[in-house]
Amino acid sequence: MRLKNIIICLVITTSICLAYVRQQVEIVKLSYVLRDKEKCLNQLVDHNKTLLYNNMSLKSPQYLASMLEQNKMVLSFPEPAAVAKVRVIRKAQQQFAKTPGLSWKTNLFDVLVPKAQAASDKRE
Amino acid sequence: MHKRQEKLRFAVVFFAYLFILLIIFFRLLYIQVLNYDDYIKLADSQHNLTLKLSPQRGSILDRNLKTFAMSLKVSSVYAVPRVIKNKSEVAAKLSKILDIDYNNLLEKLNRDKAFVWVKRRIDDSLAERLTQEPIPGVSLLTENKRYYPNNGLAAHVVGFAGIDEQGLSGVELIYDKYLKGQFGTRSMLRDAKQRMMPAFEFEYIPEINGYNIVLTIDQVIQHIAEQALDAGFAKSKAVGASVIVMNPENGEIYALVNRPGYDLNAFGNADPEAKRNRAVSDYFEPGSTFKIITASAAIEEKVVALDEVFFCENGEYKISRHILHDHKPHGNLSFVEVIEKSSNIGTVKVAQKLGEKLLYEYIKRFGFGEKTNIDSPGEVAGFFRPLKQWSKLSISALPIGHEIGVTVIQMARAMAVIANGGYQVNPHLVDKIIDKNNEIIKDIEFEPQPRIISEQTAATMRGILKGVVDNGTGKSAQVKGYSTAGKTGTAQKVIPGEGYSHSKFIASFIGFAPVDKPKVVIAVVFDEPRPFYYGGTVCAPIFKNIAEKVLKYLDVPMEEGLENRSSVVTDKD
Repeated sequence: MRLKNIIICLVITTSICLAYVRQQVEIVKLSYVLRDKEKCLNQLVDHNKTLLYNNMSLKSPQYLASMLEQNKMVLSFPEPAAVAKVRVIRKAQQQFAKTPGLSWKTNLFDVLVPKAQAASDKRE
Repeated sequence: MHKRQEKLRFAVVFFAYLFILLIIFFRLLYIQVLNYDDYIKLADSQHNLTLKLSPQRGSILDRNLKTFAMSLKVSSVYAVPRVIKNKSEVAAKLSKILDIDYNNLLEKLNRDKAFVWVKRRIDDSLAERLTQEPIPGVSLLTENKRYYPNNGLAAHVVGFAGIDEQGLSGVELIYDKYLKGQFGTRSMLRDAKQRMMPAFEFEYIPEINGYNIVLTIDQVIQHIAEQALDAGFAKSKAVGASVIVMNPENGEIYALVNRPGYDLNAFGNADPEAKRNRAVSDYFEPGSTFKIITASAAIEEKVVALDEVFFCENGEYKISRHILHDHKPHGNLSFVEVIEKSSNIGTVKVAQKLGEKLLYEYIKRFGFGEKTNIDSPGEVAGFFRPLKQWSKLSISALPIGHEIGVTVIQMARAMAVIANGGYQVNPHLVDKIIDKNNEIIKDIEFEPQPRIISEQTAATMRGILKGVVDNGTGKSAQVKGYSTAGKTGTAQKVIPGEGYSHSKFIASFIGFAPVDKPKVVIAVVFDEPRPFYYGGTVCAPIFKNIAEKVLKYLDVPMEEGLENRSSVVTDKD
């Protein structure tokens, strides 16, 4: 009887110990996976930043001006007479807002003037 | 006999065991007690790893949050010479891939060291090649590198950071403490393969990335100013040139350009002359543009009436054995005409009525001889002698911008006083400091500045300076659709030990637009332009080109009746 109790106690203790060790092993394994994912994430973030930098370089005024010059294109501000001022009635505005893929605030007017373009970038 | 032998054997075995136990005991004593600290350190260094976490340097942005400077991760190559067996072979291979000197690299690899840099901040393609074709004893480390997506745009404002990302020039230097951030640490266990085990992390103090700096510079206006200046600079073959575009109400600088310029991504190759921010660190005799100070003082002190007539001596005026000349002979001119036609003799006669003391006081009030405290390194105060050191000739030199050294920023600030109705302004390049979530960390604000001249004097001066552009020496600064005002200047350069040069000049035009509610002050200064050297010829057209585009960009409505005017070419002062 006594031996039986001792064996049961030993089995329980061993099981608890094994469970604990298993848990620790799993934690270590998971930490390796986490480390690899973290490394991968950092690489992707860095790559994203590099792409952002490339994007910024391509959008820089100096680069755009050199491209225009290369292609012999001359851009100028429109004369006041050439600018059509759009007056939209509320109903048309609502219809426009419902059109998928078009945002009333950003898509129409933001492309007209450089200042609005800058404001649009700021929002981004 | 047998028993005795048995006892002996027992004793031998006992003492042998005892001896071994004693050895083990003393060895344990040596390891666990006597050299405890050393072994603990050794074990710690094998099991524990403490990483120093480098913060990312903050970005520099324009007023619309477009990037001027940012940091990116790049790879650097290092070697462990003690591990490398065939050093000459490794040196040959690396020098070919990385395009570096073989002998220099071999000398590095022959050093008895655990770490040497091979090449820092290499291209991604090279890093990938080294990853795919690994060389034993050679590894890659990730470091931050500063990049400037606009290359040379606003180079003198933004400045540059060195190889270890410490600010060396411009805003990069002045705001280094905000940009650089704080290092963090991370301590954790390592496994037998020396891999980090994030599950057993003891301490983690995260790095604090640097804050972002938002400039008052507008990338579009900066580009407009640079393009206009580049065109004029190429034509004039000048030694140097500067342009400042400033908001006269609050001193915000929209654009600051110096030529020659340089590429921020290759600042190491640039000529030191090109790196100098001439607009704040060079002073010059302004010549006729300085007449705005004399005229403002005379009007404020009511020593002249606008219609008061001055005899301009037909171009030659003798003062204490010296003869003062006008660029063109004039007879009688009203006070307004004296400024419009930029008569030196007329201006000196106005200054004589004003007196030395008042002239000195107004020059000081406008801030000459003192730094403007703009947030750019290397600013100089210029040169302005105290009243006690004035000679008899000073009253005939200072009113027309001689015997005084000013910077371009000082002249732009003086013109801003007239444009904004008489208040002093603080020229500045940084608007605010923000964190990564665009929360404001520090807003750069200034206390209200004192009034220099009355609103009425400023309005009168604006009218007179409008006349300079409409009828006087600054006709080339007329802008289609907008009224403009300003003052031209052409000063002979002082050659040390020789006096005034007859072939080297400083040409300038400082003005603002629109006249009624000025939105921008633009200062254009050229150093030794050739063959034309008059401010009205060299600088006023650049002012016109910049003002025309900037006012449209800022959505300033055109003024009625001016839509069809075009500028007239002038060739004097």
